[in-house]
Amino acid sequence: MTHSFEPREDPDIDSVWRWFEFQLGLIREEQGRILQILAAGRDIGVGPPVAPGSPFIGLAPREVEAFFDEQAGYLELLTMFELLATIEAILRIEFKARVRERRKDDLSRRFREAHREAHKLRGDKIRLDDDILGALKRGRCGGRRLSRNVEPARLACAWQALAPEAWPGLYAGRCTAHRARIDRFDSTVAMVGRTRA
Amino acid sequence: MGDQLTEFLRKKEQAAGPPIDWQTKRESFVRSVEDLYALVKSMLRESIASKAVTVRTFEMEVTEDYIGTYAIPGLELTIGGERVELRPKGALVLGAAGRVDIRGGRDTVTLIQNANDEREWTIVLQRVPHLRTAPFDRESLKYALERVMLPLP
Repeated sequence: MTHSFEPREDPDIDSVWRWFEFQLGLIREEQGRILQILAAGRDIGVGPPVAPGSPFIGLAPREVEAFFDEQAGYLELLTMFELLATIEAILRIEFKARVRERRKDDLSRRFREAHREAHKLRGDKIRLDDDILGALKRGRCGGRRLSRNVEPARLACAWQALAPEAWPGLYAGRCTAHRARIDRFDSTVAMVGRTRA
Repeated sequence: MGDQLTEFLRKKEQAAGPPIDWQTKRESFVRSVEDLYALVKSMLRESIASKAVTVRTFEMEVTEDYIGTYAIPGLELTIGGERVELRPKGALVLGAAGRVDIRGGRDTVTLIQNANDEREWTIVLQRVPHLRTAPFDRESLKYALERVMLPLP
């Protein structure tokens, strides 16, 4: 079994999202259980007991909500980093594959060119921003050229394509021009989806 | 479908148990807080007599779900120009009959009222990873004041 946060040959953004949803579900379930104790109609003092030593003892309802919101916030942050790392891994694998296989499409040509330039400057070290995202930036995405904030927009674009059910706002750098589903993206972004398939 | 709805509502109503007398709960909490202040004053008796500590009660309001907004006294301790306040948080808290916060310039320490014996108060020493408490007495009051007040130079 492959666990989240382990290096893997086949990075899978879906598993990260499932892990996030599962963890968030646990947080909300526990929040509901705790708040139910405080619900009207229950005698809070002697009602369904809070476990001895529970960190919630003495907390008011708003504080319980704030506590669980904070937990969910940390989880979202952690998930965002994991998603970014997974997308980077997907992009790097695709970059290497397109360079190695010498495909004839425009993106593969741009990747090979970026690879040649990087090789001259830094040997085998490929940078996500300058080389991979730089090559993507030189192309078009969704029929529009991205003018600014392109790196987060590209990654957010890929994220949106792969997880269209994602919470709005989870990704602050989301590119609003590219909210469409994966079939509306050009090969630049759609390739991320193909790698996953 | 209609039967299922009726059954669901009946179960919810049954699960709620007998209604809580929130007014009695509020009055009981206010009395307990007044008793707590009397206890604090007795613990500080010598310091109050020597004027090392000045004590003043003040009126404040607490708003809670089901109970509403009500007036309750707070207790202010002035120690060498520094102020520490005991501020009731409310009666509707988890696993306890009520709560009062001891708030100073540096930190806040929580006092919780024992759910089974409302005359007893407990001080929260640590909340995470596991709750650690101690009975509220002169020793734990000293600990609380040391924690909430600015450190000695």
